[in-house]
Amino acid sequence: MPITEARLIIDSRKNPYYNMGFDEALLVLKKQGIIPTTLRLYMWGPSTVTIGYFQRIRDVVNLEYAGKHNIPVVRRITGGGAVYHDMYGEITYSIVLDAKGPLLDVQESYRIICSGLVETLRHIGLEASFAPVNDIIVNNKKISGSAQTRKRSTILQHGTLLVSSNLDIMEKVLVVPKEKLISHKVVSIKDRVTTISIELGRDIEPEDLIPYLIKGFEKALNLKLIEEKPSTKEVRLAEELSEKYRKHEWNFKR
Amino acid sequence: MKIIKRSNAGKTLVIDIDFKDNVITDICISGDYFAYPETLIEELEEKLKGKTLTEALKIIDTYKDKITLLGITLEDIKQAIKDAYDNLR
Repeated sequence: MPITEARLIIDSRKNPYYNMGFDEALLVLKKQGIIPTTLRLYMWGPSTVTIGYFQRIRDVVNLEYAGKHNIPVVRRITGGGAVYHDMYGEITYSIVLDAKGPLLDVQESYRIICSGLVETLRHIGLEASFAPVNDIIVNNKKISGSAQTRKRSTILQHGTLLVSSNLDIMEKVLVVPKEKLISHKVVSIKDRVTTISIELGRDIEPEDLIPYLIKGFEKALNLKLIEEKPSTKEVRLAEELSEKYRKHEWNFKR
Repeated sequence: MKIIKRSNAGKTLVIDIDFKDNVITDICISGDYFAYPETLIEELEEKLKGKTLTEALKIIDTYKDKITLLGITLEDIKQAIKDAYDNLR
């Protein structure tokens, strides 16, 4: 399969409304044929909880804790579960690409795109594997989760990679149904989740992962990533779309 | 009433549902699943309001070819609604 050139955007730490607005802008612009396949790597400031499109906010977030600790809670346009994005311990990726060939099948497309993260983790010495529906595990613990939406034949997939996230805060701010914990045969989030720092036994910064993520996605998706700054059009659209994610009606719609 | 079901397909389905005189008055199909296109879940919720259990199950069947679910199935949604209905009786 020939190598395809694709864009890479490395963003600095951004607020959650802009981050979600930017990912949506990528989807809109890719669908319109204005931008090519694009991988974006970014972080969050402040630490944030995002929840899946279908989740009830009060079911999955300890809103009292989040409020007390100034942790914003934002609903994504993608399904899946609630995620704690630790501003100092997590890196997020998003990718927009055409749904064609093997990517037409939703479950298979998760596996293919997530293989970029599996490769990333292998490059740093961790034996990782994809665990359907949308997770990546190391030593039987979740280290990454992804979520995807589709608009016609365009895919937006974004996901988290836990580098050195504070699992104590994660456990306090997220509410996990006991049915989910039982199905994973664990009693708490900390039994089910791990980080790169824990697995490697040393401190790692999220930024340290960037070269490995680039290599991982290039290998997995047969891409040659070329870094570019976000265009004015992208930034403007992201800012416009970010307004939705600030709204109570959106975040509390379920 | 809230029904929480861990699907064999891998995700959690949460149904919040109210009945009055055997008719669904309110329903929210939430959880950490995926649905494509997403808006069909909201459409389905609206269509189920004001319907009896039998009518609701038939409506859900009409979504088989319209929606792609990942992590849950339409059968899970039907079973959760049936469980909620049975719990009321």
